[in-house]
Amino acid sequence: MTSREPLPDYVNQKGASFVEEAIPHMDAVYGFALRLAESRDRAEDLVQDTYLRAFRAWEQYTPGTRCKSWLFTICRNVFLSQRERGRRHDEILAETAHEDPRALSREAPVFAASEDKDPEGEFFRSIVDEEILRAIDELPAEYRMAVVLSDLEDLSYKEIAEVLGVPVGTVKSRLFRGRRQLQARLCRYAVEMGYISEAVGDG
Amino acid sequence: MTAFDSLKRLFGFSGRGANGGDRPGGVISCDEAVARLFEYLDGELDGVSEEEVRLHLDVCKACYPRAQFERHFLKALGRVRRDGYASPELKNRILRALAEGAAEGH
Repeated sequence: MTSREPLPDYVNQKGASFVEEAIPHMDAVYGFALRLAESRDRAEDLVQDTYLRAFRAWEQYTPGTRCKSWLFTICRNVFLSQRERGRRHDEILAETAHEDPRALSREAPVFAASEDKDPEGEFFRSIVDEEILRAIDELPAEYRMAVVLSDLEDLSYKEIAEVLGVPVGTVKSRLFRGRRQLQARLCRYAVEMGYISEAVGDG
Repeated sequence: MTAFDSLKRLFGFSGRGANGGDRPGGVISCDEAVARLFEYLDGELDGVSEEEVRLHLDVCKACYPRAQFERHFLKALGRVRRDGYASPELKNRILRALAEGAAEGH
């Protein structure tokens, strides 16, 4: 455990509970913000905006619910509102309500393509962290958020659904699609690096 | 479940693609197992459903490597879970901004 931040005298009761409950999640929020923002500076600003907004809305936080998820929700909203202002809509996904996440789970083009050479995906071990991060950062934001919250932050599907404000089925399909895109990209990299001998990265 | 039931499950199973639907007695097909694979690996299945996938993966030569493939992939993602920590400077900056906000009567 890290030592608790000292409380300034003028911080009131609200501040005390906020410092107690919300501040300890700053590393996690920063980790999420890093994957959303384009640079560390922007990620820091995003974390700060998230915490200021969270503090203003602290009365709306329900004690006993997961504070981390609540902070992720705010972080996502701040990120999206800033992105809307600064950028054109280039990441609108063709999501259909009726798509079946289980069908997405069944499809595994990279596994199918590498089955003869590396059936158990050992090549994933050889890929350097930087390349994995780069691949995550290249995902469309909606997929990236689902993947980061699940696979880097260990949130449950239900928690992710709350953070993203979408049904659990949408979480599954975003997560599964994001993972398939990542696999395709990492597999191409593994081929380039010679971790897999055949050109299997076309999935 | 009795040992006999377990054996029935094991031997009731045949290889990939033989049957697309659910089998009686809780034994599931490859198709069904891979449809649930991510949910299984993510710990999102309930007791019976999870057990069905686990049993299938225990005995299926086709699906086991597939599960290993996804496990290696997810493990690689897990390696980057802490790419950075909020610096002490950032923490102080935010605490200061919060204190100013509090002092202003928010």
